[in-house]
Amino acid sequence: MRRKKILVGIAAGGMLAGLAAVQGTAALWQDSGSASDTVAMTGTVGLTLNGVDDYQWTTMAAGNMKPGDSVGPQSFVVENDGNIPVQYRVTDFAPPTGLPLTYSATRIGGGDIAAWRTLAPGASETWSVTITLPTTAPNSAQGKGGTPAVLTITARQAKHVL
Amino acid sequence: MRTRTKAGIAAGAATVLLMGGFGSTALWMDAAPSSEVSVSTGHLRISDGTPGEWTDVSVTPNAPFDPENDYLVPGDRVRSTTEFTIDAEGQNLRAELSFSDAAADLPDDVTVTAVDITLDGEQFDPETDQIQPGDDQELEVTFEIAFDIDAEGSQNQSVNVDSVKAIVSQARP
Repeated sequence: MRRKKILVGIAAGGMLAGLAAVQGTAALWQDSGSASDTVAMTGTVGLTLNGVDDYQWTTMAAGNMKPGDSVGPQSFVVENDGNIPVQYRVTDFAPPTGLPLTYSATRIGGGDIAAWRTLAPGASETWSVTITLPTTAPNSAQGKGGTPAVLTITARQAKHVL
Repeated sequence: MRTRTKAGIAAGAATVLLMGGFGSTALWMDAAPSSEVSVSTGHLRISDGTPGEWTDVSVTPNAPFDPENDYLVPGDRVRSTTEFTIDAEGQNLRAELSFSDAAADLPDDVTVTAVDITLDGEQFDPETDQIQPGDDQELEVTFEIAFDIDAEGSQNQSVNVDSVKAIVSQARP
């Protein structure tokens, strides 16, 4: 009985020694240190129109517009709800098919909403927009509409803009 | 009374006999150390880094970057110099310096690389230079976090510089 135990012990010892030998041949000394405990964050571009991403005026509908008619002005607030400075501008205006509407946007203090404007995080600007059916609208514009005109405002990071 | 005395004598005799037994097996013996030299194994260690201030080098002029309040955007390159201490003890110990690949732990299009390295004030090139024996060697590594200017995603992600490790590995003789 005792002899058996000793034999097992020797066998186990032999295996351990073998493992140690394998490790010894593969590894040399090594140590590592963490570079830094810094945690940085990437930023977020955010822009809202009247507090939401897609705003639809319900008070700015027009029926039976004729050339020279306008709706508005209606105000809307552009706000940077991200955490980095952004630039924004109107990048598209899409009236209903066949209806050559135009838009104009003004703000107190001036500015051109079709050119990039910088907005700090949390800052906002208020614009008034007016939609017009020009006096030059062709006859083919009669009876068109029924879908919203879409004004698209795009934001991009203000930093590193070429 | 008489019987007890006898027992006491008998016990005493047995003790004497046992002591006699000790004395009969031992011969004179002495031991001395083979040498007064004591040998120790060496060591190879690198501390965790102590980071310095961060600087935004992607703008002109360079500006301070505060990781707690500022946010990285595509096109940003921010740098900080981190100090490590290397202890390398061993007559024939030579070591190489490398950095772990942290790509898997970083947001897409964000890299952290060592752009400048000095060891005890001397320029150090991990490709060609080796760490020599010596304790308290001051390793200064300038790390750069770079956010690819063409990145379209990776908004609102954390960039954990801690996932980058400086590694010292014993060089094969």
